[in-house]
Amino acid sequence: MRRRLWHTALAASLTGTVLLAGCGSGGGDGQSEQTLRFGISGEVPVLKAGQEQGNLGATANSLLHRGLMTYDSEAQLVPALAESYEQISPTEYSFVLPEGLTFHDGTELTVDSVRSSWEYFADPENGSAQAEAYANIEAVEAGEAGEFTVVLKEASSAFLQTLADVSTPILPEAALDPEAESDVGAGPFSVVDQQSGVGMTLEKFDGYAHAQEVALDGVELVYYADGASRVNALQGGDVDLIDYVPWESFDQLEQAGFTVDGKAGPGLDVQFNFEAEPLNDPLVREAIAYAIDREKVVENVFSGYAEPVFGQIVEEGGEFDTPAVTEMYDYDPERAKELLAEAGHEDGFDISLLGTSQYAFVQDTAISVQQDLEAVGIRTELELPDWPTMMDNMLTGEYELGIGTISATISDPSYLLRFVDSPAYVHPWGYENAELTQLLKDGRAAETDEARIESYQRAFELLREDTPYAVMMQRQQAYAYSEKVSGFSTLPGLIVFGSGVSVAHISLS
Amino acid sequence: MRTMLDRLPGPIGFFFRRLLIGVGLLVAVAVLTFVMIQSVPGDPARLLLSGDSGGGSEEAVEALRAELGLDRPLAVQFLAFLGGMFTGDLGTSFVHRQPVMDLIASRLPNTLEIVGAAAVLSALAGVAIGLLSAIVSRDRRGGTVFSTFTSLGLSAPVYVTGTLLVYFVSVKLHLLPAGGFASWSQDPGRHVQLLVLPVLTIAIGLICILARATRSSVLETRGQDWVRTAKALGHSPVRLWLQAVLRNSLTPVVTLIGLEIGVLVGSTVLVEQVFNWPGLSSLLIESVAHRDYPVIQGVILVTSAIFIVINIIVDYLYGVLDPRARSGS
Repeated sequence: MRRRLWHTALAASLTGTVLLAGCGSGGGDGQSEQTLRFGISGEVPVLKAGQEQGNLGATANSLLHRGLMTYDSEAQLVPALAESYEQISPTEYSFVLPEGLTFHDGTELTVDSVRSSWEYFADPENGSAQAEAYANIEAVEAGEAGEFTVVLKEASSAFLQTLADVSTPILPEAALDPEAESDVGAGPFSVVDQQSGVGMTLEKFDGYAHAQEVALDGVELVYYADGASRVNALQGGDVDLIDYVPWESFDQLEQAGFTVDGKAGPGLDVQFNFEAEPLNDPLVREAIAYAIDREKVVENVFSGYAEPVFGQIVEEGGEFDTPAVTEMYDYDPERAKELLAEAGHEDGFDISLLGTSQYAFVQDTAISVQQDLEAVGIRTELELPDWPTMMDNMLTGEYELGIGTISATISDPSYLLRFVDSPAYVHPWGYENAELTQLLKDGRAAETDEARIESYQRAFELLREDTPYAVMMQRQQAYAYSEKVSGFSTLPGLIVFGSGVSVAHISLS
Repeated sequence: MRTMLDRLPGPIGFFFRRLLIGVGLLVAVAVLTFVMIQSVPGDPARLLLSGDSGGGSEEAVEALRAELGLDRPLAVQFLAFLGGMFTGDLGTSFVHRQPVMDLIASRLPNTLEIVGAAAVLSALAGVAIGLLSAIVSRDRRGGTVFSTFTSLGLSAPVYVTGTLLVYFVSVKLHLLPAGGFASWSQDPGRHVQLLVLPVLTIAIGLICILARATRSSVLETRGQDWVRTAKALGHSPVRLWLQAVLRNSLTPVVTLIGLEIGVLVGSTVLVEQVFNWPGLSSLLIESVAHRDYPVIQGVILVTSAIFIVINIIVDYLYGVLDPRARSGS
């Protein structure tokens, strides 16, 4: 009697599970075969024109919006909303807009839309991180048949990259207001529906300038804040593509047959508060730069999926990818001790190190750095609050040593202006070097390659002399996808969070 | 006021006294929440304007602060919050730019759904398992086996249970989705599929707790005089167990369910993360990370109100089941 009861219960459970497994729509069977299910690392914020809103904002912007320029799968700059462009002189560019371009809401996209968007981004009060770059635009002169000329106040090697920045696309007039939401654009996909905490439904925008090249009918963005949940969703077949693959899952996903497309992207550094003793001594800062075992951070924190950086982060294979720029320091604890002794700190000193416990990789990096500094006599006390508190402390100078992140939306060396002359938290507190700032601006404004290289190289020399921060590594930032997905490519380097532009090249089998 | 309430007949007076205490508690929660949030570092305006390495210009930060009402004196902000609490207007989310009440209204049913389903499942399964185990294995060996299994179930943290369920049921067997959400109106079948694992995850612990409580209560009750009398009067075994034993064993179990519902709500913080379920807890975590003050305040207030209401109901039920509790109050 008892055994029969158990058997009945077991059979009922199994039947229930099988019925349940069959009763749903399977999370996408009702959708088009060319609808990509994209698991992203959290909820898309309310989009605001011109503002950098982290990787989630960048992903949404790269699906909904385009500027005049964008990146192709090889990370080369190519026209996006512009049909073509030409550099007439160091300070003049001409662009051609195709006829009949519209925004998602059907309003016309004209030269006036371009002008008003750029004017909006140039106003610092509107919160654009690229305000200075857009303020460099002197005039936008409309010509015939969609042609127009852009005149810059001074030349800018980063100008076209700025136009490809997904946070500063061409937007309709209604979105150019700090209180307005900017989810209507002219990019490859438009918003159909969004559910708080769940996801967004996007459909292909047939009015997009390159709509004929977009194979997808739509994209289902599904929010998975937890990294393990994201990986499980991909492995369980709930989604086709995920962003921000946790480093510990790279091998697991590859072994399970998924493609993990990781590129060396954002970096981490130790940044110094110049108003904190004894960090105002360049010898001490240099000693710390020599004391950090970057290989250990790469192995222990990022499971080997990162590149150690001993100098500055520059475009791989570019003109500044030279030992003088990328190999400023090495791991040399003895040299660190010598420098500390030279600075009068042969017995070391006590100091605090600010990180955050909210992101395991930042916390683990802080612990690794603490051990390295201990080995040369610097006794650190870890402070690991949540991310907003850490950022607040960095922004108000309430730290001594801090773990900072390095990311940018352009790869031109002028991205470093943010680290030496901006209100951003990555700018080491109290650090000022007018000559360095001017050199970076001169490099960006140089009219010849020779002058540009000379200015930037001198700027790198000053960074070596000052050591306002010690870069440790560039972590691999990866997207992973199933075998159904083809055509996607992660953008390399600091622009990695703009990789969403590559979704427009995806087709599903 | 006390005199007026004391004049009301027993259960009604009891209920209103509890209600009054509940309102007082809610105001205390509001004050505490406001003070705590304000004392935590992190400027919402700066955070909103910060990208991965960013920090907006001072002009932009000031403009946003004014837009969000953060430039007003703290006392004014507090009074606005307190006033809003009584009129049902909890402000507008800094991040979502939607009324907080709308956000809560969209997320609360999802949390209540998993908590409610888990509570019902736990109550049915826990009481049934406890009763069955008391009937079929009341000896010491049976007790040890039962105790081992239930200890295992209630000591496993929800994130471990949840992760294991996802790994085996979703990733390995592909029987159910690993997580996510589909609304009932969109796709009822998928909604139920997605509900199963989070509900099971938080129910397992409570099933074990209730099974243990039921078993021990039943074992104690079955030895009472009235059970022997019922048996001597010739009641059928079903009537004997259900009416004479189980019914008289349930008082502590009901109290336990009431108390543990609070724990279930707490468990949703992790479960909603693991299963990507868009409930109130995931909204709270997200809002803390963005220093979205109005949403944090709103969610804490609503959650506290739920706790208080549940406790009033449990106290009331307890008072109905056992009049001594009423007079003791």
